Amino acid sequence: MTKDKNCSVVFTGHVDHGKSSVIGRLMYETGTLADGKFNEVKKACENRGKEFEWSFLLDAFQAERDQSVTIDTTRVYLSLKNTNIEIIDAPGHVDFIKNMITGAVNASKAVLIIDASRGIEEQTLRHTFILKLIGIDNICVFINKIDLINYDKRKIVALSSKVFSYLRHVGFGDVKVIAGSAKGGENLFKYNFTSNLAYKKSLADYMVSSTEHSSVREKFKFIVQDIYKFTQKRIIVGKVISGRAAIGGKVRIHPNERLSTIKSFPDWKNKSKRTINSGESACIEIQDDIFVDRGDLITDQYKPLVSDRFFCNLFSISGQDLKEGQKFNLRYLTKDVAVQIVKIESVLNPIADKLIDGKNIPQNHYAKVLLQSNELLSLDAEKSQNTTKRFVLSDDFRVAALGFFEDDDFRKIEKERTTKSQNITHVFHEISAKEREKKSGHGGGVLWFTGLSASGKSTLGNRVEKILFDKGYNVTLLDGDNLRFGLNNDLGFSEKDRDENIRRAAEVSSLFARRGFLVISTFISPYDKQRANARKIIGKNFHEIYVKASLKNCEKRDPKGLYKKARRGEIQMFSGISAPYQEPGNPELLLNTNRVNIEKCTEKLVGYVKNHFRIIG
Amino acid sequence: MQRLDRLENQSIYLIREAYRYFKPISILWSLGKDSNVMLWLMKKAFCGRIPFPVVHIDTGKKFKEMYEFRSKFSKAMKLDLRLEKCPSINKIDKSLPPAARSAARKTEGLKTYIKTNKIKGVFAGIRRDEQSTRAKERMISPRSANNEWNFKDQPIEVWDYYINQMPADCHVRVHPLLNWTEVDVWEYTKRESIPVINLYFSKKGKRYRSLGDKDITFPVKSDAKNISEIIKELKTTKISERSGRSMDHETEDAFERLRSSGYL
Repeated sequence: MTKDKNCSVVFTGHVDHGKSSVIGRLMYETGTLADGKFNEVKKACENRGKEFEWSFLLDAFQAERDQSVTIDTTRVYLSLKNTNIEIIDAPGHVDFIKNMITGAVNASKAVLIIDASRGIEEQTLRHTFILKLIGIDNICVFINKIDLINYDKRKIVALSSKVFSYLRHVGFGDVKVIAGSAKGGENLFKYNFTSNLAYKKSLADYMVSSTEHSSVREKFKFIVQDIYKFTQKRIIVGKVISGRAAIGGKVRIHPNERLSTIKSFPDWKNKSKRTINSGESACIEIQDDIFVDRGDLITDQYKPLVSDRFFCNLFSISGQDLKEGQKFNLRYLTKDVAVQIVKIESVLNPIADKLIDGKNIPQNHYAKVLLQSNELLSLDAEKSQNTTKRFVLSDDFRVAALGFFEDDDFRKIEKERTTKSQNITHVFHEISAKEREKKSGHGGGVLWFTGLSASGKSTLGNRVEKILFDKGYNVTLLDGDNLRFGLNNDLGFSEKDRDENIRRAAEVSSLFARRGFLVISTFISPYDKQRANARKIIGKNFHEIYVKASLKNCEKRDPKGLYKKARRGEIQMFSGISAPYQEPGNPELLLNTNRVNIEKCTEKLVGYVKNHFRIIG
Repeated sequence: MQRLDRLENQSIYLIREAYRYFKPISILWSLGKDSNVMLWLMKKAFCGRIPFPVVHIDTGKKFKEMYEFRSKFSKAMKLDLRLEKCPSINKIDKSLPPAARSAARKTEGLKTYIKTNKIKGVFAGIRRDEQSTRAKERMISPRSANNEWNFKDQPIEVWDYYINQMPADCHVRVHPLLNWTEVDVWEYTKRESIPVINLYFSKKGKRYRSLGDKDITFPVKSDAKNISEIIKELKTTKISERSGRSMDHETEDAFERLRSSGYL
């Protein structure tokens, strides 16, 4: 344990509870204000016909001063009892929560100011919740303005116990409560007012109290930011997020799990650098010629949890509700991936401490969700690591939500992964989806043709495949009948076997799609649940194409004579005759082969493909 | 990790993020103590080189010592130095107070550089503790097509997730020294032996704490003759760093107006 001579403290609280006064008083009394600053503030207040306000020290913008509201977070520096304190002022107004968070994430301690005469208010609750969420464990509540309640110790104790139990409920272990006043200076610098509260120290004492640093031997983890090739050397640059590594050390590069050995740590000044340590922005040169990319995680022994489906929690800061099906960019460590909200399980209103009805996540709400990404992520699921349990979701250049993994989420991710493929490890491909797209000029995906037998699925599929092939697409047709000759030759036509037939077809389609292929899968797939399952397996690249024709027309066409056989009872469970065909309610594309001729249908499909998959040209 | 090491590592991380996402990028070099530290950090971030231009927006009114320093240091550091001239004072917004108006020439020079080179990112060595609107800045701070700073609605900035994309026509200001204090800059300059202009050291009881155009920058009373003495002085002084910079003090909102329209 070392005493840190530097400390960052964030001041939070409901608007008008006296944050600025406390900070102003601390600055004034510590002699932190530059000459003339006090008079400058006084003049700015007078110009607006206002009484002296300490907030003018911190509220630098004209808009803030004119409207008497703190818009954005700021920092001031002061020296207190031989400790350099960085005070982060966080706005107390609900409209500026994102700015409050921007300030608070940089703090190691928090002071929550509560007006004794007004007690717990909305932002008191919200800020407390947010502080805990972003990982601040060290908190002190300063009950301010005790002069307004006539220094009534019973009232102080009553408010304190209310605050105490709320903070414990949110999850704070050690809660310190001080009662005092910025105006009279009680318990600000000295413990000079005995309040009957358990913590018998002043606010200044709390601010300089040492924060503990754990010195647990941590495993080596390094996140890759970039690869530099200024000379012949390929230099991997990034940050050591925990542990240490030395030259000659063996490393694993995730998610592809390739092995190598550290050759050197290139450094401008220190030519004989032999180790790198936690917190360092470092350079690594490895011995083997392995493709390493931004977003990779380098470890010595630790094996991250690799997945593309994540149970996690979102705190929404977006002005618009977040909804199931919405797509975002997810940033985790140095990796950016596209994700979709698959499921919103529950939504908590932190102020009311209640789950809300409804499936959308409004601003400032906290929700349990399931996300699906288009690429694998290496998650650091180690318990001791707080800094790697958080991410952001963004949309159109804006952050929409902060994301958090709780330990329970990792368990669920792990469980789903193992039940999905017990004893199977993914074989990772050297070529990323992006590289494939760049080369082929289009993305991968599945055009899932559904429709009655003889509705035109195969004819259309074959034509489109040929056209796309000629245009240079990586395209392949996956035909239901063909699959039954090989992969699915153990399956019959019972409902169960038909489900399995579709499941396998979807898995095969998905494999191709993920490798950048455009797959045309033609399966009658008569049941909603089968198509829903295929959509689930394939994910966002699933496109349902309903090839529609009336039963009458199909029966008339009957190129393989199947309808005749079905009518004679020679084929059981024939869709449309002796088994139902459930029409898709909302396909991505509907082609009616009764009304539109095959040429037009083909044209429509090729246009659809161009719009949805073409990236270049 | 000690404070200076922590600051250095955070800054290098930020520099590498910005270089990855915002190209073309350039660094603004004012020749002062802060931007010298910034150049030093660049060299560390890119293993001994700076893989983009170093720009001096030259008002033509700097001190002679500054120009001497420019040619010497740029050679020693092997900088890809670009000089961008500023328009004459007649072309500047007449509603600004005189010193601010003079300072705004620099904004115009910068705007021209950004526009002609289609710049997406600019490194600038501003710090929070210098000035109260700078204290409210982001590490990576967006600017509109007109170089405007929308300070009423700045993006959230959490952990190491800085913004990494911008709409076309916009650019970002990247501030690797934002969380450094004046004392940090001098302590780092001392630790790393980074060259500085001697105008910072006391001569006849006065020294410059901050360097700008010679007609609107004034020295402060000081006996600090070397970096150690400067650090000692700063720990007790009650004179603000930019007290010698006229444009900060003309009217309450002068500096805010300068900054929101593109000044650093």
